[in-house]
Amino acid sequence: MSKILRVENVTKRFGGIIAVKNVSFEVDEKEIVAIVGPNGAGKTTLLNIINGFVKPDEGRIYFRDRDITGLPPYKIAQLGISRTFQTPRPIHRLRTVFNIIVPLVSPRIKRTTGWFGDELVRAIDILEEVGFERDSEYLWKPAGLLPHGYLRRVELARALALRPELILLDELFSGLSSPEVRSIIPLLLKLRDRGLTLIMVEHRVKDVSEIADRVIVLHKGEKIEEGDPETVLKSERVLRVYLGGR
Amino acid sequence: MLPILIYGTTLGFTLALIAIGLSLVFGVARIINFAHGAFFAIASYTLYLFFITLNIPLPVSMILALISTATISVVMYIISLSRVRGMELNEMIITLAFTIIVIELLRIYFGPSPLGVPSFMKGGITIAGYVVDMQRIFIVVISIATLAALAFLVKKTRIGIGMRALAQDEDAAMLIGVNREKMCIISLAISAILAGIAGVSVTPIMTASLEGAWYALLNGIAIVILGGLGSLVGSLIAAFIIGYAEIIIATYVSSHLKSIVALIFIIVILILRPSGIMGRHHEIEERV
Amino acid sequence: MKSRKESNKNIRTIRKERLDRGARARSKDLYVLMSYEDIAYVILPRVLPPLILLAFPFIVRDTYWHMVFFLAGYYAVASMSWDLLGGFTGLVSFGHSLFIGFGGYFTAILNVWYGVPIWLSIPIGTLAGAAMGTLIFAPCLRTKGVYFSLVSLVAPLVMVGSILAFAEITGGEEGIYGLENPLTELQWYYIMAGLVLLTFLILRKIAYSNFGLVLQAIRDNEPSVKVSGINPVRYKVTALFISGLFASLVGSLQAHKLSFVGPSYFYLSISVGIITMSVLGGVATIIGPAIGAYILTILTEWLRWLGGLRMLLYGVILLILLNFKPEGIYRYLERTYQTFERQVVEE
Repeated sequence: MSKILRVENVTKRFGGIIAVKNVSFEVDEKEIVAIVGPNGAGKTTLLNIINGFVKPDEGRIYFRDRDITGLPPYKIAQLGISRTFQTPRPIHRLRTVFNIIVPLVSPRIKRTTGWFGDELVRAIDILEEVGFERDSEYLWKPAGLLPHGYLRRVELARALALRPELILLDELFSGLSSPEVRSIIPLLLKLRDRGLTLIMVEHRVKDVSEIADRVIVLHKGEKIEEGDPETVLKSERVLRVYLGGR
Repeated sequence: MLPILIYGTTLGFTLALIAIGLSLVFGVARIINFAHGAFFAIASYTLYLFFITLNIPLPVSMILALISTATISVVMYIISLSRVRGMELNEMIITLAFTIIVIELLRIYFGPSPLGVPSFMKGGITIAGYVVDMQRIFIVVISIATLAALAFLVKKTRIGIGMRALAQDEDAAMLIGVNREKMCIISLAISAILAGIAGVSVTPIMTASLEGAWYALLNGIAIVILGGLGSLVGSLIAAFIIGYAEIIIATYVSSHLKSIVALIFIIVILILRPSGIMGRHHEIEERV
Repeated sequence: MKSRKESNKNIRTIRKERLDRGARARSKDLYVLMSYEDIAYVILPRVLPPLILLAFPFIVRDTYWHMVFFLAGYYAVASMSWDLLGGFTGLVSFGHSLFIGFGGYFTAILNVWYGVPIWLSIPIGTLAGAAMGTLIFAPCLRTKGVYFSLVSLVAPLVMVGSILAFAEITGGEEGIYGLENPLTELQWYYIMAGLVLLTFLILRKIAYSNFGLVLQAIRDNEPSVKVSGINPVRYKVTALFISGLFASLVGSLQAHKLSFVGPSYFYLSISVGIITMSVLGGVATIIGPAIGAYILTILTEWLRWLGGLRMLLYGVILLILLNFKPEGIYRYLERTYQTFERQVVEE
């Protein structure tokens, strides 16, 4: 299987703090990879580097063997990497459906699908896919008024609307109740079966052990463990990080 | 060459006082204060009012002028600005509206033509065969004293530490007990006093004029962008760059082109290095 | 009726309840029209204002008022174009007069120095003016919106000074006189009235299209737009150019109508007037700023005895509006139009 994403020796410093230190990993196609670690481990920074918000000091990132290091975020998004944010960032004053129309206007959509249909219909389809009901009132409310759980879904819908090949999910589960989490997991698996690759950032290994094919553990900006969920959970170094010590 | 150095230095110090105030308020209170030019003009005109019209001794008039400028700035904050805190655009529009109101009131009371104030000290010093009048020396001395006092205030005192904390991380500073409203008012008053000192000290050279308000605001903005929004040291450096550049252009090319220097500097810096010469990296802000 | 009067005795509270008009079904564009009243309710607010605008010269025959309405139209077009930037894109311009001035000067230079006829000097001058303004503002669009506001305040102030430096082209303080003006006052009135209507239709179309949607998204949340695979700078520059076109066009028309351009075209009072009108009428509504422009221009003409206090009036209005009623006239009208109140009796 070909690698969809290669991260090679990426390092990023903010002033004196080293946020990400010499991290490398590879992601296969149709794989769900989870990046876990305690607060301040550099998980979000790593996503920001992949997504182009932050330029790495050292190292390269390849997407389908194409060097995307240092490209502006919108170009990376146009290549097919979309993401969600840790704190949902809807476009507050726009109605929920219009939030989804924004990525549908992107040049990527026309290029990849040649599709010129009604954006509104398409937006409602996507929202339905992530769990909204078609005639739900929420669709026509300003997105800023939606409850938190729905905002996560709007985020996900926005990321999906771009027809990405790789989605970066930044703490999708945080702030969700466990029934809500359980309702999203089948959706993620369905996306994987449809051919998408997912990189998830989460706090705990347990949250992702059900769905992740592979887990990468970050601690203080360094990669300390990599493997399938069971082995990672048993790893001594990981236990030390999570249970204290050092 | 020497006159350029002398005029450039005095202009640089004056502009530095103006721009550092603007930068301070942006850093601490996150307000783009378009009323900053108005403070400059208020100080000039109140000096004229106290010194010439009411015939109060000079040092007392100067202090009174500074006090009235600071008071007006605080009044502006309390009656109007505090109601729209956090809404950047409304803040800008309100401070602009305030500037306009101040300028129009000054125009009604003092008339549209510039008003002259005699030099504080007569005579001059001869440096390398060139006579430098005492007023310019006075400007340089008082500017250095003010900047030193400001540096002490920001680095050493409790208020200064609170301000720096707010400038770095608003939420964290408020969590550890920095009173934001108080700090905003203090920083605004300080910036008004800085603009006031600049206004008071250059009035004998430049006269008290309504255009002075726009001149101060225009150059202040240019310097703050050039130096990096919120960076005090950057503003100081940028003030001298723009000060010398304006004097050089005015002497060798045309005095009308003086103001275009500011715009060109802004555009060039925004193309080359948008965060300004001393601007902090904005990358951290981009963190999600 | 009788029973209601009786029950009134037992009322504890009378609450005002707001209801949707009967004529308006759930969606914004779908109407159920049952009577002539309903039809009038829907059609009159849309048809009456343009009709009044077009019939005005026949109602008031005083040429002076035609000129006032021309000026109001000038401000209306400029404010509506300002709204596309300030209201929809979040780029609040404090120097929209930059476009007006460039439009006017380019037209004047073409018409007077190079003898280009009026039907060519207006379009070319407009395009050149908008392009020039966009070129000056474009570098600030890569950074936060604050930079744009700062530079937009600085640029026209600088232009007023620099015009004097290029006196051989720009005429310096005196400006350029003698532009071609073949039209009568009434013709100018109709050109401006038509332009106001056209500007409104075009800008509203743009603001509520997908393009406008992206602009609003940029205003509210730029990172979100970036990760959606859209280049925000490109959209901002386009919005700036479109907005500049209209502002530049009114500058160009004004130059021909007055046969004169001068530094006053760049004055801050024009930009402040535009902002005041937009805030008064309601930001991010397109039609609101036009309403504000007509109200404020007529008001200032009415208060002519105030003399040079126009700026003071603008300043005070702005201060009061932003402190107490920032929603603006249009949104207030819209709310009252969409709802009516009935008294509900609660026991």
